[in-house]
Amino acid sequence: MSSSVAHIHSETGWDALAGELPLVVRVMSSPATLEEIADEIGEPDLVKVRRRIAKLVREGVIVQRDDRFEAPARIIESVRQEGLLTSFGLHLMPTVTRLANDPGCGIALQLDLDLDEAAQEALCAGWEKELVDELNELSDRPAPSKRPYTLVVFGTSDVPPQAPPSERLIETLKRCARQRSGKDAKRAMLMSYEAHFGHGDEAEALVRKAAAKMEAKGPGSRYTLVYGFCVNDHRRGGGL
Amino acid sequence: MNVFLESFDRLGIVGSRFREETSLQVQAAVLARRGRDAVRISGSTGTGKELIASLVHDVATRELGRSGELVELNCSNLSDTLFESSLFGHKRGAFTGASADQSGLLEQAKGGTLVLDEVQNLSPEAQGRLLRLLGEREYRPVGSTTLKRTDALLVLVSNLDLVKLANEGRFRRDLLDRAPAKIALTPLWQRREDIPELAQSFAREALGDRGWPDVDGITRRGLADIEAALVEAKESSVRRLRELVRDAVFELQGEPPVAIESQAFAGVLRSFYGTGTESRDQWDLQDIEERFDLAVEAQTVARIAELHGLPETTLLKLARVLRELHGSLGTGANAVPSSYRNLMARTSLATKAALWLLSGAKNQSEFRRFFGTNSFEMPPKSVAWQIFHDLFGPSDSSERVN
Repeated sequence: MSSSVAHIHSETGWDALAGELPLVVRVMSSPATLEEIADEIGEPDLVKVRRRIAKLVREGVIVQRDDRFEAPARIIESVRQEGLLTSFGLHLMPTVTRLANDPGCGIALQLDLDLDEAAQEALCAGWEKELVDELNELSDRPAPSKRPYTLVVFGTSDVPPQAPPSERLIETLKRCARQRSGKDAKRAMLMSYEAHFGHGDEAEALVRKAAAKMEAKGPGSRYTLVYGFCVNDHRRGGGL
Repeated sequence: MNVFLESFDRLGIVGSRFREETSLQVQAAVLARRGRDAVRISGSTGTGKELIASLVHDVATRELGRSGELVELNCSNLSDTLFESSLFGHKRGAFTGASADQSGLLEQAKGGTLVLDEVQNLSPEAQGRLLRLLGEREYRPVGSTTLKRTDALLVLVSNLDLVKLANEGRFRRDLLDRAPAKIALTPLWQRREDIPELAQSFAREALGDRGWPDVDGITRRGLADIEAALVEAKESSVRRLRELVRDAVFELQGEPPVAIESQAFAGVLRSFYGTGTESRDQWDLQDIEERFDLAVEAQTVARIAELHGLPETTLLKLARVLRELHGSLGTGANAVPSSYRNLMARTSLATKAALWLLSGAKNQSEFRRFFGTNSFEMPPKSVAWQIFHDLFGPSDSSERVN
């Protein structure tokens, strides 16, 4: 891949990316032919698949090399180009509500931390790049079969009071969304990552390690941060 | 309800929520009553009343085996004499200029549907002329001594609240009582999830008219801006949304774009509502405050529905029933009057909701079969229908038991 981060900032680029996330995640996992992509996304009509891919190629979300399609970079960075709640409904809520209602489907680690404002801003600006790099490396590792997983990391300085874990998880997401749409937006952490893994348990261990490292900075009540990780079945596109 | 899908598509009715709400209401107001009761359709300007009148006719034609045509009469600016003669017909010599017998619109609507649009504009005398028609289905052509009968499905359409008008003495209560089947249309801004669907549909139509059929439509950012601006402006009219989208499409300059981006709407939104897209953060914040909990509930319900193989709409309706019961018992801002009768009615509703949930039924037949396969084991059809209607029929807060 030609560079480590591809920037997709146009409205049409965002639409292509948001509308075809499972397809993009598949191509990011490893280069694939038209037929392989069609098989993966369950669309037998190759003309339709070609049309969908053409849109992604046009926007630079994926690139074509000979007869295979691949991601332009290890990471795609994009700026939200739609309503905040719609975006939450698409990228975060399916995972968070799933973890809240069915805790056994993955892990949800909530940390209350003693971070000052500068540390909060640095955390948000860094978007857990180290963890993402480690997960990318694991995702690249060959495996007989792979499954899609989602990692969400979100945090806010508007720390909710103690409550049952599932309720607090949802309340934290709400406060994060609220902060994200106000003047303190740069202190609201919000990150969603998707990849295919052959070794889900190893990926989970990496998430736990990152959370433990963060926790070592010291407990407190100035910031709360959530790491959520689970299998993504891609059956729902989210939305309201 | 699948019986409606064909009609929705044929009539070009767009909007998932609008489709769901109107199918339930038409089911209850027309099909369940076998088209025997006069129907009244109310909704503010641009909410689609004419379209729903056509839907009523279309569904009644297919599901009730009716074969007549759809006939409409706009009641605005009609003198009483002209109204009466247009509707009932007249005999030769009944009035100056009546040189021959003339049948009226009721005759034309035989076996079909007669729609009286803007019925609130009828004078009290003209309203009085409708009493026998709506009550007994009988009428007398002007100048005739003979009563005629009609089997037309009668539909009264109004953009004002007829109940309120009746309370103010501006519409005849007895006429209202003779049109007991109600269909109330929700203003556009209160069904915001339909706004992007409608905007996209209007954009495709306009792009086709402009000779740009390959343009992708409106971007998500553009749709979000339109939705937020219309909600903030409390826009009730679908027609106005169409006008807004068409203006934006026809103001585009140069080569056809990949898609219509948000910038294309900034000027149009300002000219329509006095606000551009600079309020996005505020719109986002308002949206979070108002709909975050609903969005979480929708996601949760989707998950539960998936796990139990139930339709999401069924669970959402049941959740509404239980929330209203909870509201009755509470003291918060959303609490509704909680007299003994009110609470009993709501508790009974909650019991029905629980029973329906337990049955896992998607329709009345499945609900009946839940209790057994022999007729003596099943609840009667009328009971199943009543429970279905109580749970899934339109809620009408003005007619609650208090």
